[in-house]
Amino acid sequence: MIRAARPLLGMIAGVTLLAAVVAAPGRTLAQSAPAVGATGAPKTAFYFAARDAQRYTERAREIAEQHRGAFVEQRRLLAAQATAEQQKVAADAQVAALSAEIPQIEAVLAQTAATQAGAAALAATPNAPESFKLAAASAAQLQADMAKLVEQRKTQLAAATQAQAAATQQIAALAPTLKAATDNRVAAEKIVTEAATIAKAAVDRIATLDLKGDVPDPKQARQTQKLSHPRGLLNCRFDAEGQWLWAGGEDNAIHRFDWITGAKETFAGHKSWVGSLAFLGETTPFVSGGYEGQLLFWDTLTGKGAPTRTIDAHKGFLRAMAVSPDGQFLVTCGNDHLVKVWKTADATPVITLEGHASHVYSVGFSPDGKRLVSGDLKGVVKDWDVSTWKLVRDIDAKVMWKFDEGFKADVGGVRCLDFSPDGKLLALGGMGEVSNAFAGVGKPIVVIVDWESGKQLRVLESAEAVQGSVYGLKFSRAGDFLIGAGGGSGGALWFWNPAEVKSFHMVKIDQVARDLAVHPDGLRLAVPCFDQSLRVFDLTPAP
Amino acid sequence: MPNFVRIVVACCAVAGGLSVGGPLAWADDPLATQIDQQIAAGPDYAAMAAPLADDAEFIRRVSLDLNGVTPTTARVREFLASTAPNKREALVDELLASPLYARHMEKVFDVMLMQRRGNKHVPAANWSKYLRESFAANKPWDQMARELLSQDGSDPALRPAARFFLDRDADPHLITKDVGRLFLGVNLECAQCHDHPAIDDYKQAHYWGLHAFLVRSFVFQNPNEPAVLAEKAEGEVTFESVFEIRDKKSTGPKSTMPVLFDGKPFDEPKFEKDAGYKVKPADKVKPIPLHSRRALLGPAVADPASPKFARAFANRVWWLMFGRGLVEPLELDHSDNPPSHPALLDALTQEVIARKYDLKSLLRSIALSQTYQRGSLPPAGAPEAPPERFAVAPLRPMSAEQLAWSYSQAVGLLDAHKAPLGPTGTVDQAMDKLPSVEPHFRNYFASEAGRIERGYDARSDQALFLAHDGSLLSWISPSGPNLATRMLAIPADQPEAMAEELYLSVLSRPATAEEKADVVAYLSASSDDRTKAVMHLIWATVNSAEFRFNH
Amino acid sequence: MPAPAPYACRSASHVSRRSFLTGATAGTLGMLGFHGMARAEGAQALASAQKQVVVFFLHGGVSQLETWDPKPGTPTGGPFQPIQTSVPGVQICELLPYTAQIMHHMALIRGVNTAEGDHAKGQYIMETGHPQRQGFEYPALGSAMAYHLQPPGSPLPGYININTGAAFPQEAAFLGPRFAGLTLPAAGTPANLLRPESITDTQDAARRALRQKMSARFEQGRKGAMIEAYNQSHDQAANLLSKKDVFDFSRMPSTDEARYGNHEFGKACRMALRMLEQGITFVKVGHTNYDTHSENFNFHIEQLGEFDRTFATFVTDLADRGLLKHTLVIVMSEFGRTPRINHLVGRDHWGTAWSVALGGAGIQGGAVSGKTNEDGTKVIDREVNGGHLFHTYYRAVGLDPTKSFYNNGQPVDKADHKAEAISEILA
Repeated sequence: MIRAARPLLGMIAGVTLLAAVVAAPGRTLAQSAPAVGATGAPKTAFYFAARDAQRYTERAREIAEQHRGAFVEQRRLLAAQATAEQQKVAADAQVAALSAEIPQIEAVLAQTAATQAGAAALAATPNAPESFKLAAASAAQLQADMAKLVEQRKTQLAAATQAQAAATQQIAALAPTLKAATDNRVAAEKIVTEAATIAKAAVDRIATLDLKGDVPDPKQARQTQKLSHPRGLLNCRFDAEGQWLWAGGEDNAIHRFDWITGAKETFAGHKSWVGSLAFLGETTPFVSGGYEGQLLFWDTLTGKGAPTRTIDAHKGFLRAMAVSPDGQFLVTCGNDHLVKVWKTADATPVITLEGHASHVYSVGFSPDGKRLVSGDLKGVVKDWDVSTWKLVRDIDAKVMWKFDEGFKADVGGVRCLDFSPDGKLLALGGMGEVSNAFAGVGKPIVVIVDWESGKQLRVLESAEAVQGSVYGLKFSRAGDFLIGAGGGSGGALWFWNPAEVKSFHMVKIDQVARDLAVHPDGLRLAVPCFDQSLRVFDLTPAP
Repeated sequence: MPNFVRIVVACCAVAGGLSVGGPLAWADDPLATQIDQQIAAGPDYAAMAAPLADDAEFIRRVSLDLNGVTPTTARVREFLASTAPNKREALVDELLASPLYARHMEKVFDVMLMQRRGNKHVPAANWSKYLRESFAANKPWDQMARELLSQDGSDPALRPAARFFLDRDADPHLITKDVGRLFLGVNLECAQCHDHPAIDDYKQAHYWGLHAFLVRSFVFQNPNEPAVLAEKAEGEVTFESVFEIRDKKSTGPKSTMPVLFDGKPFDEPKFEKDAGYKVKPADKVKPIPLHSRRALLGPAVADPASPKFARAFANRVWWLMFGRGLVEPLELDHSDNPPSHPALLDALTQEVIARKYDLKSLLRSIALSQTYQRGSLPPAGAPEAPPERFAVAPLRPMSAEQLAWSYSQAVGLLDAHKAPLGPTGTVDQAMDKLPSVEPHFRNYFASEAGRIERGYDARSDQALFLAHDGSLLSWISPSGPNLATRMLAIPADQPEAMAEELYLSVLSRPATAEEKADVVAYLSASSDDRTKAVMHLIWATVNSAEFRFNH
Repeated sequence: MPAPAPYACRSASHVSRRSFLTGATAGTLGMLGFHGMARAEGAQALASAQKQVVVFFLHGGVSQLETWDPKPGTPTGGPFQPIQTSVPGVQICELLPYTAQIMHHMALIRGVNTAEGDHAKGQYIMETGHPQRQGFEYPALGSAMAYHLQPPGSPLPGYININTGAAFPQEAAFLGPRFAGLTLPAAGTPANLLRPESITDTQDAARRALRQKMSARFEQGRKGAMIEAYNQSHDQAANLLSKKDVFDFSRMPSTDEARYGNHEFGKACRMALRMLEQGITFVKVGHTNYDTHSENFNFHIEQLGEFDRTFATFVTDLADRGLLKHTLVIVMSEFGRTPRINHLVGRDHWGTAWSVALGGAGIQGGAVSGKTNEDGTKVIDREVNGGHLFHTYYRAVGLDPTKSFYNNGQPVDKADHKAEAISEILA
């Protein structure tokens, strides 16, 4: 049991943390990554597993409660049906018995009628003895009694037949209601079972983590979910609690998926495609940037469907955004060659950083929050000092840019970037060795920059031949590997050791991945694809 | 020499008393005789026919046709001065033996077969070497065609031959079209989707029958290894006429085995699925089928006894010497487009087979015919001769390569580069020293690489190049023993000698008295220094229409 | 010849070249025999007096959805918004804000269906008005317009190509090489235009006279078409040299560089304006490239960002100089792009429902013809093809498109006789 001791402790820590969070209802769950618990210690995968187990268990209970009525109603109707059927059985028996008895009595009646007629004739003969008269009277009495009995039985039969019909009608009337109630119950059962399965899986996940540990294993990467949407999705982000997967779409809206259950809520307000998303502090937890150039703030805690604030941030596409580690600044960039800094507290502009000479594709902060970098179409990365907002230096990533002389167009760009958690490496993702600009034929590459010197250390590439670009890039939480997402004719997830050129593992996706989001537990990934889907992958060691 | 007498008599008889300009020893070549008889057989030929070309016109023409370049000034002088009775025949033999012959044929056949394509799977330089060595060895055309159609690129010695397929990316449609066009005189391009709409002889089944040889082939390449041709064991062709579909007459798609035209379709062994391989296809493994369809193509197309193949070649050889085929255009041989001289084409075809596709010998016979040796100037007052009568030597614009080298020859650039090679240096060696000359002219006078050579067009960008290009102007200024130097070396009081040098060098003929007078007048009227005047004289001459054409 | 543009799809060109004897010589002869007849069409010549044409050819196939026929808010519409133009009720894509301001000079044809998705074949239709026909070459619009509109005896070429990338093969067809386009290289000035200073005017005239005399002597008694064409090419070269100022683009006002943009297309437009001012009949300006199989929107931002302001400046300058009323402006491509957005965020080839813009001479500014359905996949009103477009071009410059050319005596439609002009956009 020694082997399990640490994970178990981790689980306990997670649950304790969860308890702490739950115990403070005034506190928001949304926090900026990397996830930091109330105690200051990083949230572990157990935290999220426990949080999910609690959430989905509660949810399963709630759902069961919601659907209890369906079970009750169906039971009530089943009971009513049983009663009616019993009644019908009784009526059936009575009708049958009476129907059999009545002819017998009628036969007796006929006999008594003949007897009575004979007796009467004898009694009517002249000088018939008195006994004849008595006999005749007795026969008449018997006949009358029998006739009365027949009447009585017929009345009883009519009543029984009526009861039989009533019971039959009752049964017929119950059938559709009962069917609906049964369908309801089946559906409810399915929902409840699903919720229970999800809850069980969430609970089981704790056990899996307990057994296998919480170190991500890229070789185990497997697709676990595919969430569909009617239109293309451009990007996605998990929130700090890992519960929601947010995606911006070609339908000018943001979609919030409970990625485990698939439940979706839509936030409409942009005029063009939604190219970027970020999470802020507590009052406006969520912002989005659109290709019309607008920056929209959303109060998603209240679930309001309209933006609380709309800012004309950039001329042309707003391409990307990032939040400083201390949560103080929001930075946006766009096709107007500009990088803009905003205060997260009140959305007021802080400064506009000029210097790029082409579309700015990506922005990000160093982990210590002291520097901001921005990368553009022509492979120029600018390094800005956050305390003065002055340009510190340019970092060369021209390997991911080409001016195609045949087509007279710029191709490539620093599509994505990420710092290693220790801040020593900057990774830049894009496309190199472009051979056909307009068909997008090139090689997906990642430039690894030594942050201190600003020099390129190496250019990472796919070990297997894949053409296209890298569109999303994240270091693992431990910084031991780098995850890329992208593609061209088909899509792929790559895993690199940042010290080695060739990827050590690749997962093919049948569609280009346009972005990459990593769950705060560091074990799950999500990519939006051209085929109007979000795909979620799990790097948790296999159970 | 009874034969000699007989032929002279025969020639005079058919030529109808044409003036032949001096004593002429006519070659004893039965094919040449047959050509002349057939060509002269048409109505009014005698009235239309030009007299035989003089020695100067002949040496220029035959040098361009057999060596791709105008003759050196020295050779012109020597030839004109020679009184040997068989000097034309000797000249033809000399030209056919020259390394320039293989160099010229290399260009001509590169344009024909590969349309001057640049490097792809097989470097153009290796291809050129293959062609040049083949023509130098006078490799029979049927053998060469089989190499082109059969090699898969894995035999290092014959790898360049695989370029015909490889550098077309083994595209079965392109190759179907080009095999028909280049080897069989039949362009099936318009018969891909339906029977040819305008040519009854060309059927959709012909297109697909040829295509069926090729449909399984593809370019195979492992990383860091040269590309080779490979073939699958499966792949059938089916076709359906879009006309029949449109007219609702189609009975559904048809399929065909490999077959040439209306011949017998090739049968082939049937295999279970995946059992048809000697080497099965796999990742990075070149598959080898047990039965190769492509291997049937070379022997089928380039069958030395095939009348279509021999006839297409006969027609092309004729075209090489006259600039038009007996069937014209070369790639549209069909019953509604009969040859101008059917019996002659039949005879040439028989001769091609009898001579085992010996290109040099065929060229030699044609070069020795009177038909080839006619003058280019129609007789005054004669009825105009349609070109297909071959009564007057045709005017043919020089190809980009002919122009490049003839220009270099005319202005003495070749002389200047030959001089350092010493007395044994040759024009061929001098050309090797001048690798940029051809590309320089191709920029303006050749079609884009990979495109079928377009017809003659005269454009202002060409004329601007000829008038102002710095290299061209430097070549006509005095340098080494080039023409300007030679002319300037002639004493100023001998302007007629300068004219003689100019005309012999540039136009390969002596100047007439009138022309000499023009030169004298130009020199005396010019206030420029003598060097400039000489350069302008050279420019005017080398840019005159007479130089631009092979006549 | 410049190399063909390296299209993303690498589609092979399907162009047949005619052999020498059936081709250029026959064409030259036909041209020589027929040219006089064209001059006899006196009334027509009058109507089209001084008319000029400028074509903007957006190579690779510009997206109609990102230009003239936006479909906002639909699955095919893409991320861009439509904007108002100077013509009330007419909206175009936001990528053309400057062009939107000159829309009153332009008319839109939104119902083009050329049903051709191959670069070479699509270009053939757009440049000749006819689908390619095996074994036959139609003259290109530039050659036809040079043939009809160029003043007799003009020393200048009638048809100039600037930045056109892939040259259109055999574009003059039977009209003869004289009407083929002269392609200006990137530097602007025709290659080898300038004579080395070591040769004076007098010397050049003397050497040319001698060359001519020698050539004439050779021509005597021979059939002359090829020789004449050759001599003519030397004369044309001399003419170009005599008019070299037309091509001296160093004299263009430097202030224009800022207005037109410091890029090749800006320079090409300034050159085009200068040449139209100098009386060149037909100028074709290429802008490359729009073959956006991936990242359609990024590339259209980039390419149209260059095109829009420069084009609008050009049209405005034409108008300001009074040239627009007799200059037909055409913006075309070989085809449009698929409404469906592909997995690389690109759009592919699409000849089924796309747009062409016209302006200037003979055109009713602000007019719109044709309509596509909601998501732009089909023409639902006033469908037109290359034939209709050619009828319209001819009418706009006062020529009769129902007349025929004669190629060796055979009539050839100037514009497809089965089509007619799009009269609702003609002034």
